[in-house]
Amino acid sequence: MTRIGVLGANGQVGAAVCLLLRAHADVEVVPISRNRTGSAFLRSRGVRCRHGRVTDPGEAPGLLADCDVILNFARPAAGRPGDMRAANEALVSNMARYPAPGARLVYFSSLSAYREFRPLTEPASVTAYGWEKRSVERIVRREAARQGKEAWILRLGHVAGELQGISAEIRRLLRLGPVVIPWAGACPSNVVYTATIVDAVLAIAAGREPAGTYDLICSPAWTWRAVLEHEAAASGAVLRTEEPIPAIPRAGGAGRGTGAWFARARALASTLLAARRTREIGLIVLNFLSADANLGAQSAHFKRRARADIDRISQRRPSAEAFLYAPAGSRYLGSLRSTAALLSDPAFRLSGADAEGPFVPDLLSAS
Amino acid sequence: MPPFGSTTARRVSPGRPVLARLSPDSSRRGYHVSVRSSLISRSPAEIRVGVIGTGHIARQVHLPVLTSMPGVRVEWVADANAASAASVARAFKLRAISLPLSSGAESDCDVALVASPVGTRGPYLQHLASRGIAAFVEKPFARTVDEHRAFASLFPASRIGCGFMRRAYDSSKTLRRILTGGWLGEPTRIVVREGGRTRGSGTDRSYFDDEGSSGGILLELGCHALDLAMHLTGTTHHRIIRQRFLFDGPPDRVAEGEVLLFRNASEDSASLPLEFRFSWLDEMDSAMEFHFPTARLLVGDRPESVVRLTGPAAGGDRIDLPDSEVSLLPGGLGATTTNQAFYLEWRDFLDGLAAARASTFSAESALPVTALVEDLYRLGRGA
Repeated sequence: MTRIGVLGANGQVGAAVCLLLRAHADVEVVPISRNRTGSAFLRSRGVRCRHGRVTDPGEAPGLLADCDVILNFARPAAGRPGDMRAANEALVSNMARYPAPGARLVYFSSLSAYREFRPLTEPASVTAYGWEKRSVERIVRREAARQGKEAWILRLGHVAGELQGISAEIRRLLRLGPVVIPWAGACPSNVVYTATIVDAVLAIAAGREPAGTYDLICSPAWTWRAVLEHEAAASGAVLRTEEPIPAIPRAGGAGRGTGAWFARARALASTLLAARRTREIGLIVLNFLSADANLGAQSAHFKRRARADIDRISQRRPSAEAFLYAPAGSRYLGSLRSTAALLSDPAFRLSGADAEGPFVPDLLSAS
Repeated sequence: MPPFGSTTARRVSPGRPVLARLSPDSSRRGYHVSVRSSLISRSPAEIRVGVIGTGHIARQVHLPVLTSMPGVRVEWVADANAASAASVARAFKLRAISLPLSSGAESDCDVALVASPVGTRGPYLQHLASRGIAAFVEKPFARTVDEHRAFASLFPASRIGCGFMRRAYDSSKTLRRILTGGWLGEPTRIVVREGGRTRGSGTDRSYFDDEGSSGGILLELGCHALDLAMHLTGTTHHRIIRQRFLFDGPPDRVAEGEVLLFRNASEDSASLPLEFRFSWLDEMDSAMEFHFPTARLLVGDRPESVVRLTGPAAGGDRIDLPDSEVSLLPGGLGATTTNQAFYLEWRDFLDGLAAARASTFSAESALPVTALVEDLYRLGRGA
């Protein structure tokens, strides 16, 4: 029996992973929550939990010492970057120190660690969230090495599946339909289903994957169309799609290279020309130009205004920004089953997640 | 005179006077209007505000709003956790004082915000009342009617308020106008759903676990929607038809039921059924619905939510069709952001204070919801 401690078990992904792991007989899942408000959902679904602060060295041993694998989905809720960094340091340090020797450490990072994990219409850039994730990854590697433990870093894409907001939102879009998505959804997505996350955890727990940093998306990668088709089938909806207006160019141009610089220069020029002062100066200059020039300028102005008004009312934006994200990452775990097969396997589907029952007693601490 | 839109005016802070004078190079073109930030007359005395409780709501909303309000000066902050008070004081460049409040002038001010957990407020309110300081209390005002009356009776009605800020939402004011005007006839039913699956445990929510804590979802969250429904319909009394709780030790994580609302104690006004479900264990599409014979009004729980008009309920189920409703856009009646809502509730309370009249946010006006919540818990706990 492998005992898997789960930090951040009360989060969206952590809760789903706990419920899915529960279905596997060779696994004992140990969700860990700071307080009972956070663990209420899991406990109402019959999952016993431990409560305490992993950041506290006095409490961490009781929470972690008997766990064979530690999954870290936690993101400190302090809100202020400096406080979150300190909390992450303490969390990861104790996560590495207090489990028994040989325990495996798994940190769930994000594809946001890549600068390129942005909408295609925006330039690649560092984000505070991405920087935070890379920073915690470095702490995980450092602390794991310090404690002589192996660490796996899994960079998650957009997480879908039961209990996930992304799936709920996609199903809402399908219900309201049609879904506005560029290129008929043919672009590879960065989606990872919770079933694949659980498969990855089981593979690591079983020793089938060497320690290291990996990108975790569906196996093999699903297009957005495949995601929509799956969600439609699962929810009994009919899939209808439309292209955005204006059309969005395919990957490779927007935001990068000389084309991008030219586009930015043109946008800046347009802003300057549209500025109030420029307009006032232009109106004064027209006093000295011919009647034809005046009529031409006025007609151009009316035409620009008409086009802008028509664009505003006829544009169709993509239903979700995530549809525009370029594929990110390239290093994948080697032993995972296909996501499609997992989603058909009852062992990777939630059961009883809807039924709220009496709250179960707490799990005893390790010490 | 110059065209209306071509002055060189700079943006002026609210309340600052505008100086218009003949500029040195003036001609027959008229006055050159310039705006200066310096005052030409003394401003009214500022209201001094103290803040008890520097938790999430004070830190993220009350203090930013109060320190931005013209005519208001935050005098001090205090918290049972002195380090928290000191940290917040530094962040906002304020003075921190210690609790319990001393009898000296250190804690003197005109109004104090009481934003500490509901079970801790009694001594603070007694102190404030003894010093002649008005009090504005974060919701919920009290846990029981007796406690509510005991707190409220310490102050004149105009000097004690409760922060049910949803009353200040633009959508709430729109609904109130429609309801009081009878534009869709008499409502036949109200349905409220609110909550969401608990996710992050959050460092500020640990006090929910405390034995002496106030309660669970009904007291912490549900009271907002219940108060709003009662406020919009002029409810003063209720009768409980059914209730169900899911208790997790002391706190409730799910509260649902149905009550009848009345506009007077004798219950001879027409009753209005209110059906509610509050849950921290399910994803909820948080909304309040007012049912009428031929239509429904729907509104979300956020300040930016708009009132939507749709057809009558079909078999009690909502139908989410894209073309089945129209939105009533905000009409400038109230707040469309959280900061605006808090600003308006403070403005209303302070105006009432100055005029010695009970404001829209008076403690007295919150008594009906205290009574309802107390009765629901009493039945739910089998007391």
